[in-house]
Amino acid sequence: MTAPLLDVVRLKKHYPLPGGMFRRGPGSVVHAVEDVSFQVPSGGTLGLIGESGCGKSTTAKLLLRLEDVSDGAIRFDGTEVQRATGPQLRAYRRNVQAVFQDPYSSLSPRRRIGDAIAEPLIAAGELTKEQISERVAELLRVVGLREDAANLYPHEFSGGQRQRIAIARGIALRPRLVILDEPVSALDVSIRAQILNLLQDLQERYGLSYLLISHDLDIVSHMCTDVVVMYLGRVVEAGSMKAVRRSPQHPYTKALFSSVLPAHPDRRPERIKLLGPLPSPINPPSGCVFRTRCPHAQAICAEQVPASVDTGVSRAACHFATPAAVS
Amino acid sequence: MSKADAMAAKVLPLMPEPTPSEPLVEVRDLRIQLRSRDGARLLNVVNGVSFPLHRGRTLGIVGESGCGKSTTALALMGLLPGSARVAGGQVQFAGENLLAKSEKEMRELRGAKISMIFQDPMVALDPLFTIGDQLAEPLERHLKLSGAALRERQVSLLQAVSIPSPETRLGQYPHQMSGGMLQRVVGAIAIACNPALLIADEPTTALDPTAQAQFLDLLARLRDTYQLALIVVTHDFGVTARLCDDVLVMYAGSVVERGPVREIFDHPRHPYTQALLAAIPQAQEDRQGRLRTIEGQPPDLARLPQGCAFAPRCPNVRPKCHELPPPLREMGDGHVASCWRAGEV
Repeated sequence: MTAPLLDVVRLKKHYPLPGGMFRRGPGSVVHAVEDVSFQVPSGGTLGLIGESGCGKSTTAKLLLRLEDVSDGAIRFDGTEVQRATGPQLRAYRRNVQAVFQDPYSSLSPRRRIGDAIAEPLIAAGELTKEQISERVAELLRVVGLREDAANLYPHEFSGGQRQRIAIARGIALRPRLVILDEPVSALDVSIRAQILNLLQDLQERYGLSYLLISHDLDIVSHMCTDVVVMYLGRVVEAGSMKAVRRSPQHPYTKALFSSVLPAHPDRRPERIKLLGPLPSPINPPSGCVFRTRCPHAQAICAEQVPASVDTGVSRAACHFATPAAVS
Repeated sequence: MSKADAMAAKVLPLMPEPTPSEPLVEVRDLRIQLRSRDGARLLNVVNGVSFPLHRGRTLGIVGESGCGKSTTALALMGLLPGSARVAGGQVQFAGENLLAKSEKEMRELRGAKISMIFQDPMVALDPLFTIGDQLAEPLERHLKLSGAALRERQVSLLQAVSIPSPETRLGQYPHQMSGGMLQRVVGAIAIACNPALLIADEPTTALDPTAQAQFLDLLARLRDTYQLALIVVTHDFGVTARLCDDVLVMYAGSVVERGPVREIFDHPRHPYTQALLAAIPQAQEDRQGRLRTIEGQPPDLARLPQGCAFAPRCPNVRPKCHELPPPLREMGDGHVASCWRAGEV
């Protein structure tokens, strides 16, 4: 097996809350990301799924080094980067880029889009002015826009075109990993398909690896080779996309996939309902964080944090996951 | 009455009325124009929409941004913006044309006989008032409830939308509840006065997958219990597959296709419907496969093409398509499509 491009080991992010009369008192901590480990295969696409507040976007911020890691390691191509500074951090940042959900808020309305795409190239300081404008033209072509689009402003483009611009900027420095945070959630169905196809084309052409964060399980299933399921800051299940979709092992993953809207009116699935509300990440439940909503919870679930078990299908953090038979 | 009948009556306090043969809602050739923001252009946002809807049935209105689906819904509610003007057609509701009603008359209907649920519950609910206050508003206004009767109805409504410990929730504010829970509160407000027609505009777009599935289950249950005529405006065919009896597909303000939900999924007749269905990523599809896309952009609504509005993007286009707009033609079993070539497939 080839070494993974990105190796995340027991990553943690805690936000301490300030104390005070009307606050929750000193010592309260938001456990946004807790012991999260996963790997992004080189040239593959890893899907990071889970519902609002599960910690997937915080994980993305940690990987982009927009937030400091509380504990754990981020290894990129074998090198630890979670505390990297100076030239090492700069090198990491050009290798790891991001495309976000809403290109309207990531593009300045007063800058021509040619300048927006050129910005990372200028910051890198390796190309001459002529080379930069050539590269901008090339990038626009690659993402399916006309070269003269460089002179226009963001409002002159449709939502789908603006997302193409964001992608052009994201790949300008020839990164090896692109973090896609809900890249098509704001787009119409037919435009969404165009952008997903473009992302697949670029991946093949440049050997890119993707980390795709999305709440749309159909899109994740379509795009990803591997998947990580998060719940309340923790990884509950991880494995190959196909295997997890076909046969989810963790009760939360089962409930999540059972909520996918049917592809046909005759395939209205049997739904698994979760009990009660999502607990707060400030005082997460003891033991298994999912136990308060789990239909199968037993006494042990409140006592011990479940270890990740190799089920043969995937790795699932559940006391009742069946380990694969050892041959 | 036998003992068994008495038991059944207890379990089913609301016997569904037999579906009358007359539809509750009959929209006929609805046309709406919108003045552009600079005032210079007149946009044809809805161009001849027609459909019937019976009580206890669900119609899905599907299409992409700007196709006129939300404007159609707002016209039914009498909530069109000031820049819009009804250019023609009728909205028959229980035998009366809503478009002929005064604003005062519409105010009596809205929230009482006709209700609407919008996309974002955080916008629909006022952050400064408790859930109880907001639930009381339509009950006081339309049903003149007060005191214990009001309280009782508030509690039973929250129970109807499966909100646990309703007495506690009545005293809480929106920020104390999750998005899925808030959308259920919005649902409770919408059904507060026993409406006959409920319109939901992208009701689950702002929700997480599990909350979305739960809310669609809830809408189905409310529809069946109260025999609501339900209209769901959505961009997502999955929502129609889950919930709808009939589907109406819009493009550039026009109905391109309408029919029973299975017909639309199994035998889509219009090339736009076919393309939209093929653009949805599905689990069983091979990862390496590319999704089908629709080239080009929707037309300028101020200058619609002379023929079929979809012709400039259509893979099956013929010269005739550019000359004459195709009428809606019957395909059998209540399935209609507006394509010159719909009969050929």
